[in-house]
Amino acid sequence: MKKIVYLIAALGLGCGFVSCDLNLTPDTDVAGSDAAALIYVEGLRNGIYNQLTTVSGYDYMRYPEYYTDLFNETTNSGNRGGYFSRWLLNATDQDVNEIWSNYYTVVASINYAIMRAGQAAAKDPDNAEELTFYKGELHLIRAYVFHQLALRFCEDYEPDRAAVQLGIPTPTSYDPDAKHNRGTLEQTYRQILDDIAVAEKIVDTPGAADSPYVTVDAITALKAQVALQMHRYDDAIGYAQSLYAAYPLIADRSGMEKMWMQDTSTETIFQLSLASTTLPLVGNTTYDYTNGTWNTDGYFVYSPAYVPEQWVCDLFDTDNDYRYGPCIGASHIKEIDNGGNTAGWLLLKLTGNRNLFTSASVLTYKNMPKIFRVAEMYLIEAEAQYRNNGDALTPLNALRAARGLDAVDSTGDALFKDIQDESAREFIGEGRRLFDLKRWHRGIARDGQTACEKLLSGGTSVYELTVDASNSKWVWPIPQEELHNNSNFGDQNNGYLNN
Amino acid sequence: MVRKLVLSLIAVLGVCAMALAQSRQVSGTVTDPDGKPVVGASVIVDGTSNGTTTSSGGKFVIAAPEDATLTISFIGYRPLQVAVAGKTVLNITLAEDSQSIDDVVVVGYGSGRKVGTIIGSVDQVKGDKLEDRPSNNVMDALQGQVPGLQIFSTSGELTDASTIRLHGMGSISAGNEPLILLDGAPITTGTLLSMSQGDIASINILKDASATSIYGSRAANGVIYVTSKKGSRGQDGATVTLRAQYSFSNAIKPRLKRMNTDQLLDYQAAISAANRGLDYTDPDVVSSRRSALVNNFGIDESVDVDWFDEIMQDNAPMYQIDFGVSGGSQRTSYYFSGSYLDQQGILPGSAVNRYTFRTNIDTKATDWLKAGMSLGVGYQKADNATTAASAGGLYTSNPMLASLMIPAYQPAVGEDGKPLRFLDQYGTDNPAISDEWYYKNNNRLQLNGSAFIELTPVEGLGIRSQLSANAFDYRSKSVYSPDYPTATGTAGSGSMAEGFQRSYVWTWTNTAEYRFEVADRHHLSALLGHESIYGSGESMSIGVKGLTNPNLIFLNKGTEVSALPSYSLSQYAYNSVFGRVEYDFAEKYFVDGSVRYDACSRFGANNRGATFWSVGGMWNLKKETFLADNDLVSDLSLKVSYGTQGNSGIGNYTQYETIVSSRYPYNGSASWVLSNAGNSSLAWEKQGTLTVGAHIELWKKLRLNVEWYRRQTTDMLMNKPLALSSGFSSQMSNIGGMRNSGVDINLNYDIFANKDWSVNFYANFNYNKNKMTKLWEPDLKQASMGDGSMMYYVVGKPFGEFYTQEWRGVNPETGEPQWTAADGGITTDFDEAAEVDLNKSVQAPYSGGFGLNVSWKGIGLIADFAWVAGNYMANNNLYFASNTYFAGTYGQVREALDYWKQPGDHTKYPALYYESQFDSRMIEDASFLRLKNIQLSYTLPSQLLRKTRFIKGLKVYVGARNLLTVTGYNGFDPEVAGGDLSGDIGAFDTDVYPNSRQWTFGCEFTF
Repeated sequence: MKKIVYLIAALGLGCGFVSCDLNLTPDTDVAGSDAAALIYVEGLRNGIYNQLTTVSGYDYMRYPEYYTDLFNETTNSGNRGGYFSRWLLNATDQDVNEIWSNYYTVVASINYAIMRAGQAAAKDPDNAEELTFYKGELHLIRAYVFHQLALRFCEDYEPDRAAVQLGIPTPTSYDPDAKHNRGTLEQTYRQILDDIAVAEKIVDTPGAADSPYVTVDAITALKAQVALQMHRYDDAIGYAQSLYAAYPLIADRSGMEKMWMQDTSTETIFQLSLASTTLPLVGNTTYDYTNGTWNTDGYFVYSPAYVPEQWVCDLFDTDNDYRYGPCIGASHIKEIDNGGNTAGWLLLKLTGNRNLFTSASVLTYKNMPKIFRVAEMYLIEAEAQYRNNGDALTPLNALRAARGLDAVDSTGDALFKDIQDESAREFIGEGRRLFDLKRWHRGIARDGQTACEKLLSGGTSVYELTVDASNSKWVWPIPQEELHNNSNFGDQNNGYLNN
Repeated sequence: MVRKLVLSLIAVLGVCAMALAQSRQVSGTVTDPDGKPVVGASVIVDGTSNGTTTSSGGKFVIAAPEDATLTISFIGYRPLQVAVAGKTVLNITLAEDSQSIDDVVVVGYGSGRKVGTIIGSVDQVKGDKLEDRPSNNVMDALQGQVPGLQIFSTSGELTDASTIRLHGMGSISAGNEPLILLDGAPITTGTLLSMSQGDIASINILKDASATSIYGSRAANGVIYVTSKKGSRGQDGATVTLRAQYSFSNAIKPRLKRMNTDQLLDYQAAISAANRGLDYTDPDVVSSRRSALVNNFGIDESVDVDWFDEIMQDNAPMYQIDFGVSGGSQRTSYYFSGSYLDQQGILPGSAVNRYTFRTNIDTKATDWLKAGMSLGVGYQKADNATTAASAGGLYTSNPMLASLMIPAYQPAVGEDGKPLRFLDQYGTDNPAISDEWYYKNNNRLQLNGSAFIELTPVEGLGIRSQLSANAFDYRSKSVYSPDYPTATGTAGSGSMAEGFQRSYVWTWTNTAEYRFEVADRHHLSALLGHESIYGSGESMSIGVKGLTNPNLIFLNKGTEVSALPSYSLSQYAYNSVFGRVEYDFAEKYFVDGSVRYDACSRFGANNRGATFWSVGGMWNLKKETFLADNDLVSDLSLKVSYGTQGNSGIGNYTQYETIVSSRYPYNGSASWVLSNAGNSSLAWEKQGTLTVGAHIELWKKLRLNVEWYRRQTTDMLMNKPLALSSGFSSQMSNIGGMRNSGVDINLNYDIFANKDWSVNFYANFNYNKNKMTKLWEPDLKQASMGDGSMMYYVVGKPFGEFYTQEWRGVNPETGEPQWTAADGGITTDFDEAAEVDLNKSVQAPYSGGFGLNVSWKGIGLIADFAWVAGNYMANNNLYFASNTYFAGTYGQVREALDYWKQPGDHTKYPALYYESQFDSRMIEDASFLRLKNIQLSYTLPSQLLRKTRFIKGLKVYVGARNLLTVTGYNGFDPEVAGGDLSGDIGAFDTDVYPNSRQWTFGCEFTF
């Protein structure tokens, strides 16, 4: 009998001991408030630079380009970007949805990191200075992301109507359950300016060419961009001019080549960093502008999904413009070439950083995203001066001279046209023209590249498409998923149906 | 020790008692069912303390009145009451307790119950239904056997487990698989799959709250309780069983018929004409386009290959042998077994090789201490065929898709008579032999075992502690050999990846159960228990490339890493306490109740615990006096139960907001990413189940069981969509509701039975109505399940409701395709087609099975049919195999030839200018009836075998599986429709490995 009692007692004790610990947190990751530590805030900040790299990659910048008059879709497209090219966007478009949600994923990550940085500083005041510095950088990135969203999903900012123009949600605290109202465009830009102001107070990193981090100069460049958009022309001129000295323009063809084939230049103010091991962060533009395969005769033969329009090709002075060749030019295009001639033109600047190639005969189509280049500052100043009736020719001709072109001395509408053409030459492929067209209140009249005509898809209704500046669909649709799941959001953009 | 005490007490009192009663001497022998004497059994005169024990020959002598009743009992045997009725010699045979497994059902912890005394709804399938079915998959043999239990072999891949659903789907995100227990400890379907079916004594399906609530948080989808075979105590000598089976399998030809070379070339020529704006109905145009095709692509018109036949393996063999030895001594019983299985699949590169061993031993060390242990070890080596699921994507080189898509004019063999390695017309390597250079294999070492100790300090009280483990190591490998063929030669450089996984679950269960009687008629039992479960899984993988020697494909031969090593570790734990009380009055009125408290690490600290309970009652009308003598009604009982269960089948760390380290440093510095929003208020998915049932038996021949049930899921775990501007698209939350209600009917009829003949018919039927009752917003009535899913969540409709663009046929005047427009009218523009509720669901509302068992002397015939009805599936094959978009270069099916040519044509397919779209045309009725199993066997007469003095029994049989399938479904196999439907994945038949038709020959020896 005693034995039984012992056994029962032993079993009873065993029950007490064997109860499992239920506080099982992820072993290989970090959960919840454990992230409130310098090491993780620093890691999150690096992760946010990576996320910014992804959403700024040139594969993302294709979509605004296809919406304009820079490129025509070819029969090679496989419908990549086809809804943009054919102006068929609707609220259920998956690419628009992805662009929208990826930008907001960056915002949520920033808000989360800022929250954890505050908690980490409270826990360990010794680290407060470093943590505050990261918060400063993150405010600048948030301002940049809000601005990119506004450029795509809002009308062009009009100071006298901004209080009634529709904005975008600008969440500034971490809350996955939040349902934000889109507010007005004025509120959106106010938040952008507030974020820039916070960053400016904290970030003291000196500017340097090709800087992979936010610097004081990157802040100034964003201020110039935003000021132009807000019609604050004097400010825009001042900010732009302040950057010229530190970032000399490239003034030869080899410099242009280095900028696009090696991602090094004197004129890039803020360039996100990629290494051969981090290439998957950005999608490639393989199928879009070129899609080259190495030919046994020793050159690439291309099957592009999109080719530059005729008027774009005509903009380039093939003898003098340093951008002809490194950025754009006649190339071997499948089904266009006969006997190895190069009748058709292609965009070439995005074939990839050669230093990150694994094979000389395989193009990777991956470049480090250039967030701000000083060339844009010259164009910002030129446009602002033009709007202010100031001296627009000086900045415009400075850029032209650096690119191997003669000075112009136009005035009035002709001057504005020269500024616009220079912007097209300089930024083709980098996703700026949609925002330019919106700001200029200019429509499009497409003009298919003659040499490539037999490749163009969709018939003349696509490659000779005209869209008036007043068309409400210059503003992209808000994804339906946002409207379905956010009862506070507010209205869809004009001209789009909701299911 | 206790027994001795009791016995001496009885002896003393007995002497006193003898003086009081008018008694006579009664003598007799107590034997076991085999006729062996039972030594030491107690014999007591009821109502007195007069008793004795049996001697070495099992003999006893006792003084008892003429009208007395004797109770004979011995541990390990069922107590027996025998009326003296004036006799002086009584020969008594005791029935063994542990042998009564056929009649005993375990309903959750504690000891078993007699079938007729269980309030809970439990269906039992005995081992003999499983052991000579030639399948590597135990569950496949259960299809159509249990009402309400839908089992689908959703893939013909030999190592894929079946999909099991009991009473529909109750959950979207937390899983729909029942809890599977092997001798009380949880196992996975994978473990069950790699067991030898010869080791299974019975499988019990626990369906209602009274049976399942005691399993609490894991029991929402029902419980499958598997009992492994045990030896029996007191047996003289051992029983040795040896079974050998050989079978071969063949593919079942699909209803879709391929176009032959002539048809295909004309069709391709017509499409080519249409694409050029020519009149594709003009024979001259078609014939000139055809010559152009033949010339341009160098097509040999004399070639006509049926690629389905080419790819499918003929007579894929299976060989299985298993042996088992069981026996026992006075105190100890044992069972051990071994088995070997070797099977080839019908797709290239599909095979399995399996070894299993099992030992079950238990011993009654003393009268109050019982201990035992069981251990199963299995090793399984498998090769997997290439399908969309195993290759991680749909490629034209996948054999199933290729069997439809390779054009008939693609030659299969080269000039040397050997199969071509690369198919020039099709543009890929040859899928019929691609397993030579692209293969995926894996092996799994499995261990499950348990040990228990059970104390019986006083009669009726059992205290038991059991520790169980279910563990496996799994290694997988996938290889692209350097001699992978390309259009111009071989790849020259190969790659490979290897993965390793280890998973284990420990379960410690402690129970105390007390069963007692009051005044003979009140039977009570109470159970208290505690259980802790800890599970852990670990995995890693790595890939290399740059392999150049096809004979040396090893990780260390790579020159470059193709995928950085991955590693993961994941753990979970449960702590639970539970109790149950049962009472019956004279086995006439039964009530029971159970309660369980569970705490699980998967939920937020504030929501970790939950209490589940049940109450049930049963009335056995047959025991009432008004029915006791009724010859018509031989059994009648009514039952009702209600209770709650939970579901916790979500990710181990879903509740946590987590940041993970990224494999991409930024500018050389480590980076971290916020990966999961988390939800600290995540809690149990709850379910309430009400079941009302009746059981009736007429003339002791016809048994009918009817049950109505309603399962209501609340706080259902679902991914709640979030505003994208919050930075997240969804978050797991307790938001939804779902209900399953239905009826189970089970009929079993012994049509005829005499000395030589036995004819039995059975049928079962289930109707299950599934509907969503709540979505994430109170007033939200429907929401898309995602683009491309073709389904919506619709309140009031089943989960998995097809809701997509509705095909309205071809316009006979214009040949244009037509769909329903937003205004209900017709549109010919797919972009303007409205999504429409098609009132078709992937879930089958009707299912069942029926069969016949006939035996005449030693000859037996068994036929088992299984069926489901009213379910639909998206036949994705059609999108590829009857679509002008793919017809240019690929093979197509014959029905696509029914295309529009001129006004007035009523055709299935539109004019050749139009491509197929994903619309309601793809959605087909996937109902089917299958002759799951048919078997003819002959058991040799024992007189004949007695002469051998060695073989005790011999049975030979021939059988077939899936011999006959009746379906309207147009794809390869309607059974794959039961596939996984969790999250946003729909039931799409896309490149799925179909089930095969299998013939088996087997023999079974008993020694």
